[in-house]
Amino acid sequence: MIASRFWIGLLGLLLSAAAAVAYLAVSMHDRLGVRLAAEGLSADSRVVSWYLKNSAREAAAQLIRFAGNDNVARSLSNANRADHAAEIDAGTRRQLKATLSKIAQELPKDEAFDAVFAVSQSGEVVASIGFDQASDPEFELGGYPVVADALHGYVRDDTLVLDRVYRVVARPVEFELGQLPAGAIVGARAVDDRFASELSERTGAAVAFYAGGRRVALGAPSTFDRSGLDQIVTDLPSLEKDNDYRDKGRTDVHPFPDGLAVVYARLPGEAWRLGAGYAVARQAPRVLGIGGVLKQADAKDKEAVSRLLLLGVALCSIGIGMGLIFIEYTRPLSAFKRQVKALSSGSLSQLTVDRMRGPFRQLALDLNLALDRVPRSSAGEDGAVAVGFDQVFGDAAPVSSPPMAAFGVPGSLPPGSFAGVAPASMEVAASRYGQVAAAVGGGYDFASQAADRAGATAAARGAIPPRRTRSDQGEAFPMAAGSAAVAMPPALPDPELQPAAQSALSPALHAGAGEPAHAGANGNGDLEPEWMQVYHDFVRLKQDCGEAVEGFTFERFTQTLRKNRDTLMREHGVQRVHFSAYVKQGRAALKAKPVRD
Amino acid sequence: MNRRRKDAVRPGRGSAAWLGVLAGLAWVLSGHPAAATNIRGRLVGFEHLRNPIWIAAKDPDHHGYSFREPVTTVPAGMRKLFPAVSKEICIVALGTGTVGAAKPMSVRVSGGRTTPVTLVVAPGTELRFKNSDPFDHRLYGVGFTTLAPSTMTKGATRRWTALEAGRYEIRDELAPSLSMWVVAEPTVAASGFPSSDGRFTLNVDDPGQYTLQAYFAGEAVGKPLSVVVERRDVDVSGRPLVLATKAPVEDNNP
Repeated sequence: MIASRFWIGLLGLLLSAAAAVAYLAVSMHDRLGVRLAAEGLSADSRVVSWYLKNSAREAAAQLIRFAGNDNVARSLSNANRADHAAEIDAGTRRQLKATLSKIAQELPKDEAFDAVFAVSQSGEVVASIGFDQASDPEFELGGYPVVADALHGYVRDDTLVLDRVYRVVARPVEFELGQLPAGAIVGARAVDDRFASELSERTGAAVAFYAGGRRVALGAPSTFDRSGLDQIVTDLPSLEKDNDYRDKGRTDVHPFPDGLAVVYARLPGEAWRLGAGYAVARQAPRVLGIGGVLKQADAKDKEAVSRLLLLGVALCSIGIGMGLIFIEYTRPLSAFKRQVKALSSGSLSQLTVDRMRGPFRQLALDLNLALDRVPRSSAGEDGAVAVGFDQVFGDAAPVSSPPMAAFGVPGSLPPGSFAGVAPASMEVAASRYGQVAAAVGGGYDFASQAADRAGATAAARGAIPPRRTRSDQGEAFPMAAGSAAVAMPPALPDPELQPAAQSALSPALHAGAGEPAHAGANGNGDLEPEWMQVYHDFVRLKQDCGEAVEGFTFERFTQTLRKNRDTLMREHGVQRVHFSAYVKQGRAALKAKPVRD
Repeated sequence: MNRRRKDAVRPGRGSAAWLGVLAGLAWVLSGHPAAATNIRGRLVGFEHLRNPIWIAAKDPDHHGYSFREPVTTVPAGMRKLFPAVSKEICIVALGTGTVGAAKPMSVRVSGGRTTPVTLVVAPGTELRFKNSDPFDHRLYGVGFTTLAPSTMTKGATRRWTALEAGRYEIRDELAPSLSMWVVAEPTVAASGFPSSDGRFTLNVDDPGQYTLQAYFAGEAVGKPLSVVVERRDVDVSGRPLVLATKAPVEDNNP
């Protein structure tokens, strides 16, 4: 038994340990995921920065198409002759715009500008395409450093926050070498979802641009949950308090509760001072608990699992468990069953304890002891069957043991208990004659119920008054006085009887005097002559053993003997049963022996 | 800046005198200004000035760009961030006495700056800012509260008056490159802006002695030039206003 229990305990511990390892693995995985996401985010942010710079350089290179065009340079030179923007010739403006449009159409689509401006030396926009919202003829761009730099011979980029966020590049337009540039050409790309998607497609990063405290563009791989990037607006107000963001233009990783990690970076140019920037995000891989492991595992993960090993472990565990159960439970139980079957069939008189194991050994010992105490059928040399009725009479039951007290001997129980219970107990005992449970089992409640039945039976007969309960303890059993129908032998009890016993017996004896010997209480009128002697022997032995005999009447005694005699005669097919009193384990007991004539 | 002339009318004798009086009265009542006297001049050395906003923007520490490279076909001498003189330099003729508020002046807000960038006016002169950009601006005063940040939508106009003498800097919350300086000068008699080649013309109403002074980025630059104005136009182009004689130190870092 202990091995199987140990195995079950071991399996429990192993299961607990496996769960702990799984939880640790999940936690480690999630933590590692966050770390990897953080490292990846830093790289993503720099990649985006490089992309923005590189794309600006490429855009600046595309501007050469405009700046190197003669028509553009000539038109700007002409525009410079006007003192005011309003004085610029409309034909010059139209021609310049047409030239810009033509050049723009020649650009590759992925490098095209959303807007192109041709700016005079004084900063006025002479012509533009893609920016029709500027309807004022005096609309200019000359104040922006990026345009000013271009007008002074530099090519550079900037990020302007106008009606939208624009990535801007500008370069000078030279009309005469060695002179001040005739103007500048400015190309702008709106930072919108298209721009962000293109950036995301080329860098693989999930990126969101923000300005003015709100998200203005978003681009993310298809596998990325784009709605997560909406959360960045909650972080934007606090970014200015971030020292790294304020000084270096880039934050550390900002984790969000759902595993989203974000790095914020400022956009170069005027947008830097306006708080515009971009956020690069990554979703840290999380398995969301042990259940998530199974949920998120793909076919490749499942292929990595050694099914053979798992099957082997499972089968091995099951085999060990089943083997232990077989060894410790099934096999002993089978042996026990075989012996019980043999016992029931009569081929065995006792269980063979040596063949028992574990709890069955103890069970067999107990059963043997019970059988020994209730020798239901022990064959003597002469073929007679001896039947012990000490349990039926309950002589060996200590007072403190309710089950035994239910069948207790008169001396250990109140008189009423014996008188009221004994007949019912006999019925029960008779009905369960061959069952071990009847010999050793039975509870006080059962006895009470039996006593009820007995009392009811007696009352129905009108010969026995209603039974007395245990509350009658200490009183004389009234049945003795009321059992006038019971024929009692004239002999007096043993003179050694205690006065109490004498007084208890006397009424019964006197009440029965003069009645026919065979006019028994059960109406059978079959009292055996020897029973009086048995009664005297039994009472004497009880006194010898120090047991109380108050209320132990001959009438009840004979009732019990009669029932047992009838039962034994019926079972064993005998004509006679011999009862004898004896001492067993220090208590008076009765033994019935079927006599085969 | 033009100023009205308030000439007194002297009564005469006879019909001729009455005609003269009536004619003079009609001329005065018609609001026709007095014959202004022009002061023509020239600025030199402005190529040595540097726009402070642009200079700051080219500082890499300001993160104004991801790349900035010179175009080598443009002569190095041209690759200097000198100002657009027609917008950024204000020439004033300072009189000997204080003057009252002039007519309201318009200031155009567009292209990352105001036009003009530097303006010298008499205290009490109203400035009317007009947003010529197709997007918002939020002008505010730096260091003074009379021009609090307020959004100007496309085409909107905002008014502000410098009530006291002094130097006022105005910026835009939505356009960091925008900086404007207003100098409230009680003795300013006329103001104007040069052309791109540095030539300028100032109109003064009254003869007298004036001091020509150039202002750039809210500060007086160059040596002032005294001019005596009589009934005729005065041309002081031969004595140009020298704004600067050498390049600033910033040029060491292009």
